[in-house]
Amino acid sequence: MPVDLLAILAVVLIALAVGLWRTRHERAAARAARAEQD
Amino acid sequence: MAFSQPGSLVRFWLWASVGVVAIFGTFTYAGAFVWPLLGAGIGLLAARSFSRMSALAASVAGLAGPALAVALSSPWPLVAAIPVALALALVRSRREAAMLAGALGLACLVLLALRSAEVMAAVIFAPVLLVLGALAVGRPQREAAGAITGAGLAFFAVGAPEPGIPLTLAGAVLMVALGLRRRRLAMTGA
Repeated sequence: MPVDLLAILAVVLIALAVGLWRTRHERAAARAARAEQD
Repeated sequence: MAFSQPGSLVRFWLWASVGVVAIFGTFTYAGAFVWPLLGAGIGLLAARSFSRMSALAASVAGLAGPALAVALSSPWPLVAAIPVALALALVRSRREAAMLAGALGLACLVLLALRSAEVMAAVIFAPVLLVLGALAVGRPQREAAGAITGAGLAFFAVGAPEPGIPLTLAGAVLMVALGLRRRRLAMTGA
């Protein structure tokens, strides 16, 4: 049972970490595009 | 750069191929190897929009999962690659990142509860929950009913018409019914 809960926690944390990293990446790209426009 | 969205019927058949792959991934011996790619496919189809880079990153994650699993001879990379591929394909904002994490956590808890009741139910519901979670995070769309049709066609192809025929028809009927509802809403201006 603790192994299952650990697996769930790992899946959730991986999704959150990759998602937030992806968000940062997207925002940096958007900021660069905006800076280029200005 | 964003891709132009394919038409409704094309999306329906793309979702149908997701259904076929999901059945393969659920019921065949080597099926687990397609899970990460299935996650990437579901994420890209459910995404509101995606760039060439995110499509590429999700596909790489989908292929890296099985490669790592073989290299380490452990099934865990296959499981870990599913949230990675989904997040790379689907997530565009912090809110979506949190929603995806929540949806996956909820799906895992449901599967855990189902497994203690009946293992087969958990096995069957795993891809269903994955699709529902992705739709909740991305753009809900009636074309996702195509996955049901695809699953039915896959059953049909392997010689199991009892679940095949109803599932094939159910996906098509659901797609048409949701389309009719949308048209009626548009006509009444609701």
